[in-house]
Amino acid sequence: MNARALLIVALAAGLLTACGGNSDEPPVAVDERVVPTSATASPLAYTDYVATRPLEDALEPLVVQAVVPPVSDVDEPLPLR
Amino acid sequence: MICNSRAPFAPLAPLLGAALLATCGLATASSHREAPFITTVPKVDATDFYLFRSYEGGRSDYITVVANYVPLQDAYGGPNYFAMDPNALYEIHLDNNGDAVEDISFQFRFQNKLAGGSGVTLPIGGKNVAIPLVQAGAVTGPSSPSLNLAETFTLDIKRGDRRKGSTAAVTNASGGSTSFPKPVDNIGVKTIPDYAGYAAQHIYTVNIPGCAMPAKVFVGQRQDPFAVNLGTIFDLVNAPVEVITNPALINAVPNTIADKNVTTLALEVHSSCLVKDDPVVGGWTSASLRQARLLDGSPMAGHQTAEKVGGAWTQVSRLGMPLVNEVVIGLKDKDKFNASKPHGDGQFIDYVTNPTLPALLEIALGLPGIAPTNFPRNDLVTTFLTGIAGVNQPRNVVASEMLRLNTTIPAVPFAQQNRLGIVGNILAGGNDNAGFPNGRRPKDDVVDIALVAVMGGLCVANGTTNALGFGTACNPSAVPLGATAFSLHDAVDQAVVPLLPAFPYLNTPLPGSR
Repeated sequence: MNARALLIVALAAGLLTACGGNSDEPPVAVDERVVPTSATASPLAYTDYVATRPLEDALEPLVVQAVVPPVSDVDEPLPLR
Repeated sequence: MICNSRAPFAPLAPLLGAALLATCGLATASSHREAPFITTVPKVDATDFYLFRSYEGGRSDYITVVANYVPLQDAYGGPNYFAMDPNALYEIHLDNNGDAVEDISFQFRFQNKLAGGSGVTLPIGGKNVAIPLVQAGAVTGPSSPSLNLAETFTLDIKRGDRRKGSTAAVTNASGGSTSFPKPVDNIGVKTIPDYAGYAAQHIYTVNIPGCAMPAKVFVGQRQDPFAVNLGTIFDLVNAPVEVITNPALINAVPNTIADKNVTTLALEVHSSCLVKDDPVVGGWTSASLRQARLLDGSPMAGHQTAEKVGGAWTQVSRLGMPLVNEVVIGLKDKDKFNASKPHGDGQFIDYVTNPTLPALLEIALGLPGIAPTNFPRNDLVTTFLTGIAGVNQPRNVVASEMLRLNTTIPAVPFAQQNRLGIVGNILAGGNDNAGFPNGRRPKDDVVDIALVAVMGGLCVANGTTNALGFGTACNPSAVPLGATAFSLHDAVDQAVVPLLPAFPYLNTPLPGSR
């Protein structure tokens, strides 16, 4: 393979890496302890989010200090069954 | 005593029947830790509910409503004592047209704030360090600078549906504020030397939007006004039969909760504010929590920061006539009852038509065959769910469980009140029809009245001629105890509990130290 072809291969490899084609990089970790924004979109969403939290002995608590739960003084409770 | 009176029933049959019906209606006293879930959230556990025409001199045109919460408080329960839950909604509901739906609701919300935002600190070795107590010195008046924790509350009146009705804030008649300081609990005589005087400074005259006359409100700790042989009752009525059937022994044993305090929400409202077209007003109290809660594993500095609550208000406590959820509703349905509303009470009808308490008494006392046999117990249904015709039954009543007060029946001074309410008054030939089940006053011995009722006193009075209209099945032959039913009591006399002569009527709480 001549030098020109080697350069093309090298450039192509670089482009693939830039396009995320490098399978050696680890995936972005999702912090499961963060309350998603969608959970505080409405009182219903918050209630539904809390209701669907799994019973799991191995989980760490959610980080909630910055959470501002939405409230409603007029809604009826969400049916849970 | 009264229960053995030979008062003529026949001439007074309608009123007596009504009274007996009302008293038979399972209207017993108190509701402490009565359901599985509520035991986990004591700050929203309603213990007693009272509804009566004020009997303080000159106040008979006012109606006093009292809802007690947080049962079995030991006076020494520091360092945090028993502040109300700022994440809860406490309500008193009133139905003034008999349709089993609230027309007026008084809503109490609480705010508990550390002094200066982060609490009182002391300079220790060059550093300001937060103190561990709710007080930093003696406390003598509202909003005392010695308080490390300031408890306040707001009060709204809601007309119509409790959630979707119209809301207006109740305001202090002096100054117009919507926020009211709540007295700290009775920590002890060194912190608060004159607690009675201190607490009295927290009785507020208020203006209620839409009401022509000012009202009074008090929120604070009181001595538990309920008298009962609590441990004995729940230990399969661990008492000799000859004691609990002897009227001479109505106060034979100590009141086991005499050394306990509760937290009281008390209102005194002019009847014109509550009464519409029907003189009978029904009432009950409820408490709600936010439906969703997340616990914070790393709470921020502050007061009660360990939870993040959201969502809708969800009712977890309900109390109208006392002892319903304690000794009537089955264990499997107690949480359901606490979440229910009066208009849905048909779901609990079997507990009233086929009550288990008489059969349990048979087992507990080792006396088979003493339970009344008239099934369904329509005597209890009538008393319990509609009020007494001619006494406190609304014109267009929808059957439902709540306390009902006829606001036109005159109040009676304390000294003349009959401890057995209407039925006791009739048996004694007196003039006191202002007592239970026509509402409920602190002096009414609802435990004794309920025992008489549930064990067939109504049917004895109904006689063989259906004199009281309970139906022919409700007659003396259905009451194995016969007239002895009128002698039943729990050996603790409600009438000797110390009370105040005026609003809020309930006694100064016991101090944490003396």
